Amino acid sequence: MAAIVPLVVLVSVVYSTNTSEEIAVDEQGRAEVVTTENVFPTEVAVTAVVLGVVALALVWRWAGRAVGPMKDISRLADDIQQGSLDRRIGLVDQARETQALGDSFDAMLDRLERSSTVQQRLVEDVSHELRTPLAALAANNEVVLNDPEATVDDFRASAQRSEALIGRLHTTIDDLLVNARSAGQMNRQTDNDLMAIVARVVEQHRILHPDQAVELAGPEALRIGIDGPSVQRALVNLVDNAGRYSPPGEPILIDVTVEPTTVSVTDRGPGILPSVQARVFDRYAGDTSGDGAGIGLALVKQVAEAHGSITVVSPVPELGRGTRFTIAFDRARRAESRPDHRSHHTWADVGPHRAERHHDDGADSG
Amino acid sequence: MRVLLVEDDHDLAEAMMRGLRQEHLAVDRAASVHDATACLAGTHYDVVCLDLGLPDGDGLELCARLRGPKLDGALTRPDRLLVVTARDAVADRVAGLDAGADDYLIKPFTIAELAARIRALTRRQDQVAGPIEVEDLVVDPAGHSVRRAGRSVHLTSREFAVLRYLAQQAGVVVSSEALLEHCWDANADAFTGSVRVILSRLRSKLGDPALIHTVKGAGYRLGAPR
Repeated sequence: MAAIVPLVVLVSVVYSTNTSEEIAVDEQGRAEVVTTENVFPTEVAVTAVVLGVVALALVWRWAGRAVGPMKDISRLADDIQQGSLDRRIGLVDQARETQALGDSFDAMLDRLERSSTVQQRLVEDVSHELRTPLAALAANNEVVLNDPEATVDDFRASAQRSEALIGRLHTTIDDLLVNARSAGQMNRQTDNDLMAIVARVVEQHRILHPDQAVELAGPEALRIGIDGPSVQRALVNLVDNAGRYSPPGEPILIDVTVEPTTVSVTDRGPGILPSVQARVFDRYAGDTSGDGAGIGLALVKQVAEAHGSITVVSPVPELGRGTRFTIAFDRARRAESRPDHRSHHTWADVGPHRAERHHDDGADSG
Repeated sequence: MRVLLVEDDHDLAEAMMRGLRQEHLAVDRAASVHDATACLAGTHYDVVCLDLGLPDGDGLELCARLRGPKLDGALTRPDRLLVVTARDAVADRVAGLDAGADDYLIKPFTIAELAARIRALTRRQDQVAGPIEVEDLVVDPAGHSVRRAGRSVHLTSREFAVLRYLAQQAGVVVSSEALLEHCWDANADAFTGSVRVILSRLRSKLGDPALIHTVKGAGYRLGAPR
């Protein structure tokens, strides 16, 4: 279409320059405008047409080169469905803006594919983590109901086993919900007192396990931007895990530091073999008691990595045994969904009191 | 029938063992690939029930190893391999069966179905499904019932397990060692004397004319020789 315009302009220019207006004076002295039309010279006409065609061709080619990749992108976008996230545009050697567009599109597909894989694995985890205790519940029930000589004590024992399994299912579902919710929300990190969260976790654990000693060390308070509920859930899982492996009478140690901001949970249990340490956060990575810690630690890892990082040390050097999980909070990290253009100042070099001033300065960062 | 249950989840393993013992099967349990290979080194299992999500390795790899052409000399190849898992996608099922599983069962399942599949897997080719008849004795492997000349015979779990094993190989001589290996599990703490005790109790319960014959130096046989 763009080609038509210059052509039209060309023709009309040529045409208009072919008519000339003269002012002639006739016998009575009246001025008269006489228009004479020159014959449209052939050479001009031919040149006009040829130029027109060339222009048309050039424009077609240039427009095509820009539009072509757009069409590819558009076609690919139409084709993308759940299963085919592995395709890419793969533009090379294009004009700068087109190349940038193609690259951005491919980068976006990379992120989508990764996210889709994570989700798929999560669904498989759910499947395994829910089905296994369900299978145990079903089997237990079946056994006691099928036993013609079952006593009341047998039924009671079976019901107690069911109770424990229901508890397991409940915990797993909670973990999965946090996982699902936090996938969207963990970017929304709000101001929290980390020490208060840790204290809540410890209190909850003490209620459920009154015989288990928990030692907590840390500052009076620690304000930090985190996703409170997820971090709390992750800590609950870590403390539960530590509790499961702590020998009777041995305490769980929780240590919170300010600079760098970390939370460590240590147990004095048998520890984790080096060969297993790499897999400890993986789905299904069980423990010898094998009672479904799988997704609990996977959730811990997901939450930890959204806020910073997590490390495992086993055996703990100063104890010679046991395991220590340490979550390190990266205070410099910003939520990825809201690029902060003011981030010359990071939380690391701005202390809490100056953060207040910073907050007053201008737009809300959260 | 002796079953090796390879399952890392403690609660589920306990429940399955209880259930399988209720079906008069001898069951040993392993919680990891390492433990499983240790068990397989010592015993010939009729069936291995294999969970895929194990803490120290992939169940599928173990499955392929057990079915592969070259098995470490120390391990005894089990007769049949049943994969029991939560992975229910078609791709997983195909992968499991192609890796060498004889059957694939998805959690959650009923013990009744698990036991039925084990029985199906261990049925001999020439065996008719359903109650086994030897002279006037009828042994129903699935229904756990035993009748002699129409009259019901009441047996304990262990006695039934031994009789069923003998019935499934009716007419063939079965050694004491084989009985010990296939009707008792590691838990039962048995010795050859146990076999004699059970057999003498069986004989007295089954009555006359004698159906279980002792073949000196070789073992026991149910019914007339083939």
